[in-house]
Amino acid sequence: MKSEAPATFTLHSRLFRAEAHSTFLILIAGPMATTQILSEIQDPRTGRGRWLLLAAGFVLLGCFFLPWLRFVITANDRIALSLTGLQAVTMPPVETTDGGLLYRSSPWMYLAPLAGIVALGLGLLTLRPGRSAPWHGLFAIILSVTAAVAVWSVVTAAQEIAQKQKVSVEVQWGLALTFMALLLFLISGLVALRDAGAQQPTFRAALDALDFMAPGTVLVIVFFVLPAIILFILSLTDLSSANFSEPWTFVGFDNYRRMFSDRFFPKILRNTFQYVILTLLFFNVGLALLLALLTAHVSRRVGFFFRLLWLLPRITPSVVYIVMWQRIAQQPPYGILNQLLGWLGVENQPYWIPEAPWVFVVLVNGFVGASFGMIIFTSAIEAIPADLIIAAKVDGAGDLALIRDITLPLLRWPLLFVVTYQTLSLLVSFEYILLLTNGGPGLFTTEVWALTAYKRALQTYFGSNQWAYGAAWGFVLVVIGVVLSVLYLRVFRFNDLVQEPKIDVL
Amino acid sequence: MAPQGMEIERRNETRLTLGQALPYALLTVSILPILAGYAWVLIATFSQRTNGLLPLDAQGNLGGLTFENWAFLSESDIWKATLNSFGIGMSMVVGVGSISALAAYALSRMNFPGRKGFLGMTMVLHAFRPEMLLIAIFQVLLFIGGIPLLGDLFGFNTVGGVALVMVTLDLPLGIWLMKGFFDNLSWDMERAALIDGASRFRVWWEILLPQIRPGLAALSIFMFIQGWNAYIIPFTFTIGSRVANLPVYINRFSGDTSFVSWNKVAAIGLFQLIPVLIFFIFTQEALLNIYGGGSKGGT
Repeated sequence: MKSEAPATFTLHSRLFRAEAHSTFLILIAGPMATTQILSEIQDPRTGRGRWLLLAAGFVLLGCFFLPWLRFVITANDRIALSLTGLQAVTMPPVETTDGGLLYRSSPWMYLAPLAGIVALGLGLLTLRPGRSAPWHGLFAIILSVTAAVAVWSVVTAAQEIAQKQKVSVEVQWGLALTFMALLLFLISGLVALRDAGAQQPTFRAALDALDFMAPGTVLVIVFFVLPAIILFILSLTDLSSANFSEPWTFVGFDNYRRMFSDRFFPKILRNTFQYVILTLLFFNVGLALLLALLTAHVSRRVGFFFRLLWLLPRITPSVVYIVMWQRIAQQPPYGILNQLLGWLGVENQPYWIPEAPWVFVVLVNGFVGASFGMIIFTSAIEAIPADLIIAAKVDGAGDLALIRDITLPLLRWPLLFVVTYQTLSLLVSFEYILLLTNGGPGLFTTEVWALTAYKRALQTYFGSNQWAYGAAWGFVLVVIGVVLSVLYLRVFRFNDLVQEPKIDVL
Repeated sequence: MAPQGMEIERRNETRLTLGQALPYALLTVSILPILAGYAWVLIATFSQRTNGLLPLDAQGNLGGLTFENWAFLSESDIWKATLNSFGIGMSMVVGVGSISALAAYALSRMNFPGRKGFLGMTMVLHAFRPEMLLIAIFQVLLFIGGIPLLGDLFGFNTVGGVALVMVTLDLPLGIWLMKGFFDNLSWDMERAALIDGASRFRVWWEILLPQIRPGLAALSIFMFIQGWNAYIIPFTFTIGSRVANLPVYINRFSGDTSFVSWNKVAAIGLFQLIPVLIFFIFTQEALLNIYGGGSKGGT
């Protein structure tokens, strides 16, 4: 290790500079956080005192921990990063008992928490309650972000050293705690900024709503919006498990060209249409409508009971559900269907799933899908005014005429709704096909678009995950889905649905 | 429609016997495959092997009642998987419940810039559950996995990461359901409280949430079942038995084509079905409402 000293030295000094930087920041950030929190607590109009006190505890704890950053290169070639020391004034490393080098912190660093305590006292003495200045919040935000960047640079520098020396980096919990403290600091800054803004009547309503919307919005951005963008960018690269560790290289629209010229593209397209149309026609709409009519026709309790039974496929775990179907279809003497056929005298039947894969793909998905339309249609049928039916019956209409001339015309909108809605969900669903046939038997027999995208990207395919190519398949589907759903929102008068709430007009 | 219909039917009783029996027959026949599937699970769980629905012992005679299929209960992997499934289910309950209740309140009661856009987006996302995004979410999870601590909790190959993705994917449904609940509540009490100077948060917590408790409970149960049953996301974002949940654990047996111990699979399947069926029995009406009601807005 000694011989490599010159090469690692610059890295070490970079590391220490970063540490010094973060110490400096925390010396300011500690007092700032304290005063900020105190002003919040003393504000009698906000009820946030209690949890901000908690935040204060964490930030102070962070002040204790952040400066105590050290890293140890031990004899067994591990760099341990922990936040128990920080070298603003670096002490010369000492040899540890196991022969490694220990970089220690200097005693000067005890000053940081001390400063925090002093600031706490000063804040108690000087701050007047009831005022939340915007600069308080701004400072807290800027400081917490820069401090986080500083600490981050320490970590990356350590990781770089570790990579050069081919040792592993061990990040310890103190570091995480610091990030948590900084996060709380950031939140307290945002809260302060928000409160300052709320004193302005123009922002008040929007900020009130922001409180409620924030968690949902963050998740939607991180797991919907961002992935949609990443999916598109990814589809322009050639990322696969072969070049995973390298930076992404962009290949333009090659993946899309490759997709459209794929030998099996027409087959997959046909499969997708076949799957969506057959399942929709026979089950999600056809059987659903039949079930709704039948369960409305029999007595109320029996109807409810059967509707309930039809929910079973939907709430059965998909894996167990598929096992049930496999057992139904299996070859004699195991399969239930073949046992039945055997009793009827039809012997020597095959395992039905590879024999008639499409029948089972549609059946399996249809039994799950039928319940949705059934529920929608049932509530629509129950909403039909009784007068209409009585009038028709008085006029002598039979059951079938009743259904044809009264029920079905009134179900026009629910029908359209179920068709559009289920087209979309069928288009993107692949879980049951994945479990049932995985696109087989043979080549692409039952492989639909969504399954292709999934398999290319996330299933090891001849030993390689072709993320970029799969992303191209997936992105096309996302675009189709978005366009269709926007159209569908138009049709179903979205604007009526989202009419403005009245309570804001007090 | 039923009461009026029945009166008329009673009058025509003699003529309609076949016509009356037909719907029952059709309903029964159509649901048979599902009943057969469930029957098989129940029978196979407690027998040495099955031919069709007949339980057999090792010699091929009828009988063979056994509990040895339940030997898996002594393996530590199954309990790890159960715990993971339970964790995902509970995260769904807490995550979707709280986050969607918060957002739905704002969407139902407040007017703010971006409201329509957000509603439109969640409606689109609700209409088609974008499982295609899993490819890109994989990259996001890899990135989160690189962050210290956060990565250990929510990165790739963690139960937390799976739970977070699941929560987000079901958030649009939760938000729309919750918005429906809030829309149905009257404004009066809330408005009085606001005029008296209560904060929005206090109004939400002390006045509105208690009123929608039944809806919240139904959503919680639904979300628990979703999380408990989750297959595709845990399967995609986890490797190995430490983080596998129950469906992934089962699929390791049933997906293996070479040798499948079907009776063991049935037993594990029943083990996983137990909480689902308990919820199913006790919350029938609520479940029917949720499965249809989540999209009632469209009609």
